[in-house]
Amino acid sequence: MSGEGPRARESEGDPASLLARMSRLAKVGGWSFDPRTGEGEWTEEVARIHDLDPTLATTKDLGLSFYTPESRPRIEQAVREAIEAARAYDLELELVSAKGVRKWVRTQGQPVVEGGRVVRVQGTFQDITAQKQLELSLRESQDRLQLLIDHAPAALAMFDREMRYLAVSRRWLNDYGLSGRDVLGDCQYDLFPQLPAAARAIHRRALAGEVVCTEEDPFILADGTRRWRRWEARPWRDARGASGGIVLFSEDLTDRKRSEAALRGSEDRLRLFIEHAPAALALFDQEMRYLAVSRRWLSDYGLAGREVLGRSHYEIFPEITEAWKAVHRRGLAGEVVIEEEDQFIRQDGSAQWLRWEVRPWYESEGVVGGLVIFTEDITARVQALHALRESEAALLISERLFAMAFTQNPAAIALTRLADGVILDVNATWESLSGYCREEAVGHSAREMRIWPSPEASRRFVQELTRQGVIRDWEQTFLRKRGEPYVARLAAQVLTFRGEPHILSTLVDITEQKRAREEIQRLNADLEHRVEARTAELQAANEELEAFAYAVSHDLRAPLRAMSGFSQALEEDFGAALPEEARGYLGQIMAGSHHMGELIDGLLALSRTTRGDLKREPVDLTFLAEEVRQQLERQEPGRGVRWRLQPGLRASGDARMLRIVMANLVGNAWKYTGGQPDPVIAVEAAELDGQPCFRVSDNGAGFDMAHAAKLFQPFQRLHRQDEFPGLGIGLATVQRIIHRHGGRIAAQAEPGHGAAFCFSLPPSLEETRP
Amino acid sequence: MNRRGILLVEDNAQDELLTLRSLRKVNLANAVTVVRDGQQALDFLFREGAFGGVPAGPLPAVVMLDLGLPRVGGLEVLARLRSDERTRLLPIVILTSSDEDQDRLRSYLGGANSFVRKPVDFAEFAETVARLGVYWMAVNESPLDGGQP
Repeated sequence: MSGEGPRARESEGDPASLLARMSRLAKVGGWSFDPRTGEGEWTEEVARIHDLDPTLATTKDLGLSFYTPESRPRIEQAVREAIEAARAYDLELELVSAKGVRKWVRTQGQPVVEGGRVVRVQGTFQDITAQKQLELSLRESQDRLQLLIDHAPAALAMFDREMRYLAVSRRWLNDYGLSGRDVLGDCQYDLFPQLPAAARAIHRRALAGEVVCTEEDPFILADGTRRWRRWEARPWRDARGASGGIVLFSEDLTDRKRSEAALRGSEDRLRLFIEHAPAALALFDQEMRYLAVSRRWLSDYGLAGREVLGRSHYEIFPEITEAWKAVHRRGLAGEVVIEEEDQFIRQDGSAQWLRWEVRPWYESEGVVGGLVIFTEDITARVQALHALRESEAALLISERLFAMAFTQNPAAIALTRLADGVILDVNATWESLSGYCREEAVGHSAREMRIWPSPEASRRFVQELTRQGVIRDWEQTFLRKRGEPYVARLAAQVLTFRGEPHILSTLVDITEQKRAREEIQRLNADLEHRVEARTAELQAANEELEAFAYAVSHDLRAPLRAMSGFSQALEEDFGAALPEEARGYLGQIMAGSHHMGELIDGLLALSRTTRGDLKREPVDLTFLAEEVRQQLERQEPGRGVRWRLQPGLRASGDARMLRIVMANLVGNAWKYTGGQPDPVIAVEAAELDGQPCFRVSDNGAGFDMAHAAKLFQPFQRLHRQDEFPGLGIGLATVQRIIHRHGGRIAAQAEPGHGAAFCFSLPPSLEETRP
Repeated sequence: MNRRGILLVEDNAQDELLTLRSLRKVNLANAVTVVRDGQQALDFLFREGAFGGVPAGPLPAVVMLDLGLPRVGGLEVLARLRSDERTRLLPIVILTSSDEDQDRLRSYLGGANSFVRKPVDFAEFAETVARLGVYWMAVNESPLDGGQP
């Protein structure tokens, strides 16, 4: 390059200087070197670019030494190839000038071949730094744009006029099923051959300068799937203002459409859900118009069968209270209002309990769309709860009562642990009974306090209690604190308290009672003893009487028989020899002895009524009366008595004794109707002081009731012997027999108008039992 | 007429007299043997005691037995006679002042052939005794009649 200096000094008029001027203007330098020697020359411009003195000579190696480490291998290889292979080069390289300035240069090398070998390499040299910087900044801005488009959060593509892709966003690639493909330079119509004509028309309109928007355009993807999108096509112009192509922007609506459809479906489902909800539930809009309602709501509010959807709640219920409206307003203002228990008085006056909720629902963030109202009739539950509360209150009261019953019980109560007999609690009565105060007792065992008279007694009790679980009326002697014994009636029960078996025992002091009982027993025993003694005495007396009666019947009769017998023998054997008067006396002896015989018989009969066992058997009184009647009519025929015997008069008693009764009563009737021209004798059922009885009556002589008291006494007679003969023993005997049967007898009579005897025969105790 | 006699067991002398008088009226007085208490009756029938030396003879056609007897009572006599093989079938008539049911029942249970109460009234008594005598001596055929050698 050392040859450039002289040339630079050439005059401006010659061609060389023109070339130099022009090359200066073009900022293009020239250079050459000899490959053999490495010696070279360059023009002034080249030296200037290198910030070197243009007058100094140059060499190949000097020229190469300024390149940057990145550029240097490239230029060295190009030079080597130019020398060895005669290959020309054109490189854009970077160097650092002698003043340390980095510069981009363009160097073109041309080998000169002479005689088949490279004799010289020459070329041009140009400073392209400014140009290079522009190029770099352009590329950077392009890269930034590409990056921007690439990562735009929208589907975006830029096409040239032939609809070839210039730039595209990933989202676009993704949306159109082109992910992973390099589509730049590809024509949209090649990629989507089925693109509808309408779309192409829009593209054309945009290329013609129009901005076109579409709404909800169906679109078939490369893989055939159908999608919905909204898109926009607008033209872009180049720097010169000419139409460069179009930019397409698209938004995939498929998901939104799907979710809208899903939303519509879910609204239907929601409505269905509400309708069939097993609760009273209604959905209202902001104007309180029904959007959805459950059947339960309709039935609860008497709306069944009515069309309410779309109608206002207030229109349907014009009488709705201001309180409710206020609640609705609060809900519409965004508040959730819940009332767990709210009482309403129905139109019919009955009380109704409701649980209700008023909740806003949101159309979108922060915008209340209306209300959801839920109500539940909890009347039954509340009433049950109130009943429960009442019973809880009652329980509390009863607990207090029980506590009172414990502390103030007139019986002594103690709670003892079964395992070791330790006392947990006692009441006041226990304190006063045992002599220990509560503090002395609680925490100590009964054994330790020597409450039990012996360990065996305590053991026996616990054993029995454990076996049965409960003990009543256990009589036990205990010791008071001072050692004094007392008797208690003990009731005890095993119960689980704090997970452990305990004994709840109740003691009643029966010391006095027991003493009194023992006294009574002693007195009773004494009494029994005395009764026994007295009974024995009576028995002895009875036996004596029996012996006496027996003796009377046997031994009194024999002398009478002798008196009567020998009187008769005297009369029979010597009657003719006796004077009339003597025979009369004999007759008196015989009559007297006969009467005495009858008296003895009567006395015996009377005594027999009190002796021997009383048998109880069914007795037919009618039959007995009939027997007596026949006997009487045999003995004394022709009396013409009219009999009224009620058939089937049944009684319970001793047949032999009742025969004596009937014989006496009917016999009396027979006797005392002796003077009656039309005698009537009746035996029938009647009443005596309201009790059933039997009555034997006649229309005979009767008697004066003034003497009725004597009637049943032995040997007392109301008639003289010459009127009606008799012993005065019959009715006494009858009364004794009736009394022995536990019955009563009463007489009613009037002189001249007959007599009536009523007697009762109550069934024996055994017979009254079912 | 039965060749056997009547044994009257009677402690009351007056009753004995009246009985014998009644039997005499029907010509039966000669056939009557009288003993005055139960022991005597047994001795007589079994030829024991005071009657040990008396030669054995036929048993009486009937025994008229009072109940209220000294020493051995009438019911006791009845029991002893019925328990002995020899007198098991001997006709025995209880003739007594008692009209106690118990006495009558015990007598029949003890094996008496008849129970007759002595009436207080003499005419009745005489008639009763006479009928008894005639019945047992003349009418009744004793179970012992054929069996006695």
